[in-house]
Amino acid sequence: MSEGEPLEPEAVEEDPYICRCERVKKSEIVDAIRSGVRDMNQLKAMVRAGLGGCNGKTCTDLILRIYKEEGIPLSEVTLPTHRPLVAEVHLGDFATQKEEDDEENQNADQ
Amino acid sequence: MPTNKTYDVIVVGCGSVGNPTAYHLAEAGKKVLVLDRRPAAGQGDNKAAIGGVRATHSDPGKISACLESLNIIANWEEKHGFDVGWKPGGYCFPVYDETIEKSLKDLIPYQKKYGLDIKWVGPEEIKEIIPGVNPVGLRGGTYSPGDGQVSSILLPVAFQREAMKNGAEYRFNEKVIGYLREGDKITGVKTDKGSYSSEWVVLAAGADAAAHSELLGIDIPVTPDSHEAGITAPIKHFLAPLVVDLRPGPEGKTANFYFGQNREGQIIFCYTPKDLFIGTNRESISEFLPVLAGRMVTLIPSFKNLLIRRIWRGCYPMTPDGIPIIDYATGLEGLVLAVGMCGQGLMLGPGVGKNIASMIIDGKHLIPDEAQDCFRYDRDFYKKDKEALK
Repeated sequence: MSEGEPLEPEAVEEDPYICRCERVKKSEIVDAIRSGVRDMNQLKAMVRAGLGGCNGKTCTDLILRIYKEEGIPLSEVTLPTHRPLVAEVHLGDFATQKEEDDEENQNADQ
Repeated sequence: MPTNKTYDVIVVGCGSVGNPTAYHLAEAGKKVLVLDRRPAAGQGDNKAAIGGVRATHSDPGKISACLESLNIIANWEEKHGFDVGWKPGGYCFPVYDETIEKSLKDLIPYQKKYGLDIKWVGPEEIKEIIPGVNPVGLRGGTYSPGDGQVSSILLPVAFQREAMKNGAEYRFNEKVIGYLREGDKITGVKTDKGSYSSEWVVLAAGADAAAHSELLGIDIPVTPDSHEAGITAPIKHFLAPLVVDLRPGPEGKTANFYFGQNREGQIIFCYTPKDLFIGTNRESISEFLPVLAGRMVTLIPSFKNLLIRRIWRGCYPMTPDGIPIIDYATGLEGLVLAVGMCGQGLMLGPGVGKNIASMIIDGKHLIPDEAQDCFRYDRDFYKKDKEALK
């Protein structure tokens, strides 16, 4: 881009990703909502939005906005199970941790 | 407020058993109402299941019911055009212990008698079935290729949608607070939002079942205990079967453990604690991952690289002998009990639901007599010979 050229606003994507972890597009969520889904846990099961690594940190609010756009009062919507943000940890680290703890305990016993 | 609407059958509980029961009844033309206190189908302990569906059991009741479940689940997408996450691949029990080898081998002729496709295979074959399995001391194991896995979060949607196509009504966020009765006949259900009449009521309330003892005036011997499970980030597909290691763990915390790879490529796992966590507390416990990790990494060393994504707990509604109650309620007309699935509701539910539909419509079980006897409500729950394969 040459200097001084004005920034063009990017076109709004027609069918954006709502859940980036699981690559779920808005249209899939709209279809599920229109089929009658009001429990966001069930929505998660059907389209996988919120099942990825971030546990729904990005998509939950966006989906609530889609419910509003669809004219559904949020009082009719059940929120998904709240889960903390996770950093995915290797299974081996848990196993090793256990062994290290045991070794430390043994050393302490001596 | 809806009052005194009349149905052929009211199903109390829209979980792993109630939901397929409604599906089979509606498909047969019955007017069905399903009630659940939660906001959608399968949102209780059903969705906590890791998804294994096996007919590999040690009693004719569970073998027969689960063979029917496998038939329903494996053919679902072809029949109804809805993907339930079915993954064939069987169940494999790798064995390192002489006593376990004997008990599993002794069961095989009995399992075959009730129609299960199962065989004992040697260590070389186990190494092919479970790539990367620890070969040290491996004696062989059982393999039942007809078993498989299903998505415990998609299956409830599938049953509800088909049941609704056939006219079944579902009412969520509605709690059953009592029963309508005339003498010894149950004639309907009272909820926190209304009353509904019916010819039949099916109690499929899972971990809540015992709370209905008082409402019904009968003893329902179901006590929940809580089990933990987890899932990893996806990895390349390498594991076809659900794997069960029946050895108690050297750490003194685990009675056995099991895992599989789901259709998304995630490893999904669970263990049976040596000392049960009685009750319905579903909060995670800090020892779960360190204990489980030790077992997983010992059995398949390369599992050390798996990335843990999420853990959760769900309840097993246990009967004293570990076998469900699927029977007409003694002393109460118009009531069928489908309770105490003992952590196997997901795999039992589709077959059990079909059997219950037959009990109501034709007045008889579909499963063989010996299988019915296993599930009887008036059996001795405390007899000595315990279930060999839980």
